[in-house]
Amino acid sequence: MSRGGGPGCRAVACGLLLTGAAHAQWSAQVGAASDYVYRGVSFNDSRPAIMAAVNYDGAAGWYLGGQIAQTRLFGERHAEPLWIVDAGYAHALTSRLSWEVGATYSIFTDFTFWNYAEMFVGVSAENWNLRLYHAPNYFGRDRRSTYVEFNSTHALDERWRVLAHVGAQQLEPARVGDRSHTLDASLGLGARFGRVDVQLLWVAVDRANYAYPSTSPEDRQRWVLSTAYAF
Amino acid sequence: MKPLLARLALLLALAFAGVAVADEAPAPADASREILVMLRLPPPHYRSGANYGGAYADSAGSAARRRIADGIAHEQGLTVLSAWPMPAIGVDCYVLRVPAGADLDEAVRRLSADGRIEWAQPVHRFHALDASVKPVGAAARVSLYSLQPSARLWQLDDLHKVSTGRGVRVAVIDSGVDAAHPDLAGRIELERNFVDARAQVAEAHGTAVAGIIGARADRGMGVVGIAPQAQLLALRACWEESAAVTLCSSFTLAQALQAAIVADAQVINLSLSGPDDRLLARLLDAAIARGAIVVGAVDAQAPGGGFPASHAGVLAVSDRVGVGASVLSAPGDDVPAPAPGARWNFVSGSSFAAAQVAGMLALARAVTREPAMRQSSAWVRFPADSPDGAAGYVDACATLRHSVPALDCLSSREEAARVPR
Repeated sequence: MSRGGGPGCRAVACGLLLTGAAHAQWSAQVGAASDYVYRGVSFNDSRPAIMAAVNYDGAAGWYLGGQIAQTRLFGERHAEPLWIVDAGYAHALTSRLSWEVGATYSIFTDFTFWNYAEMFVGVSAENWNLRLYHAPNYFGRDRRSTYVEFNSTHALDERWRVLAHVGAQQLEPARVGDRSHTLDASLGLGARFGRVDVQLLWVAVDRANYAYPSTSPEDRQRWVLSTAYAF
Repeated sequence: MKPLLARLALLLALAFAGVAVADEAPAPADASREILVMLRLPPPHYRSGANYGGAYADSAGSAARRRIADGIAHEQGLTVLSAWPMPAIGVDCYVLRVPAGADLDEAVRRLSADGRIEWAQPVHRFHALDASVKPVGAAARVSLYSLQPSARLWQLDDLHKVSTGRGVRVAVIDSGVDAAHPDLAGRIELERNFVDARAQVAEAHGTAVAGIIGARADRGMGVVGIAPQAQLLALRACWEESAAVTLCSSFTLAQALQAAIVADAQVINLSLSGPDDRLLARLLDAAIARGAIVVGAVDAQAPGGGFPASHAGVLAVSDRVGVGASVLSAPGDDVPAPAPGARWNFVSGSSFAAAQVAGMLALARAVTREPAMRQSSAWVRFPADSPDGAAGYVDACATLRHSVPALDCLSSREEAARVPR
């Protein structure tokens, strides 16, 4: 048997993902934000960023996705694209609750040694989700990351909703001068105008966060205005 | 990188140019040439691009399904009129119009064979169940409590000593409710209109049903609701076609059921009837699975009592006795009820028998989380030799006493009827 899987294996994987392709749904969105913020930390030097994403839902519960976002990280002279691809499987437990398992892979085009994979499991309901992420080599820095996040939306009416998020991260092994635990949170409003979504969020972290190659790790809170068009 | 960013910025700018046309129109009331098409709503999951809460991704998913619906409509020569997400049953529901002259049944068959579609069905018509309405007249500024069958047969005063339905959410899926009626002022927790864009619509059937279930009990005039402290959800899914006819459609009823499920309604009253409907059946199953007790009025003219009363798990209620072993019978003749414009009517029919049972269930739900009364077999009936023509009707007080042993049902019905309210 060949290592890494041959054409046969790829065909099986493809078949699993595309089972019932007639029921499959492709979606995409493009957007812009006053900053690209990831787990409470600016990835774009506190500057406006644009982004795009595409998602594929197979009929059997498998899904694929990919996004590209404009970033400007420590050591980068220019804006560079960050690619994140994901794949997973979601299944409805009841009419209220579903579970999922999946993985993401983040690709930095300039400093490829930051590339890393992260797995996750989660449960979702109509207006909240809880996910646990684990990355064995977070940002290529030989540290294990465990991140848990809770997201909730509360619809005020057909258009407006309140958005809330809390996340906690543990990095191991701990580094001198850098705590291993970080909390981040956000709270704000979202509005939907047809296919356009607008969000205004207050985002905060509990400490200066040097776990990321951010150019502004000391910024502990910020407002983020973002919008996206779905098609 | 820069050319890519420039192209994305251009795409975004073009996208915003078309924003104004994207909002959905309200559901039309005329449903005679319409088909419902259900597209699968994937379970919620991680999505690329979702930022803090995933709301963007929800928009992207619904946009994708709208694109599919538009494509299907274009291929079949149909027009997409409206859409509504039904996450409780994992579908987005689209309303498509069939052009005049085209065969509606044939269009449903073609759509049902399309692999992109979960299922397709015609938009069915439903009608509210009432037999007669008689105005009370100018004497309505007095208490009508003693004229209520619930006061005389069910000792409502005694029932209210142990439960008023406080905090129980009761969804009234019906025509518009007059929230400004003196009997209902302050009693409507939530109002939604799934028929048209008007904010408030006061109609006779919905107002009567809501009043029978949950009118105020502290006025000393008008009527007293069976559950005067329940939280009423007035979900308008029906409309007055004429003074005597109130109609509803599969789509408006489905929207209202979805709203009732989202609002965690513990009791859902459906005083209406029509043909079997797959979409509504799925929503009823979802509501029942989440713990809601669904009450359906029996249509004496329809085979099996009509849908949704005939649906498994729905508590079927008739204003007649001897309809069937699993059908509850409750008094439904000349029940005093509020009417739009600070008026009152005597109303008759299964609609109002069902409303009284729905109110009783709210009383039971307030005192026990899982009332046995959700099963028709748990209800006590008046014996055949019962006076006052009560034989065969449910004995609500005796039934509730199973859940509340301290409930005193010993006072005679005649004495209870004399209690001023």
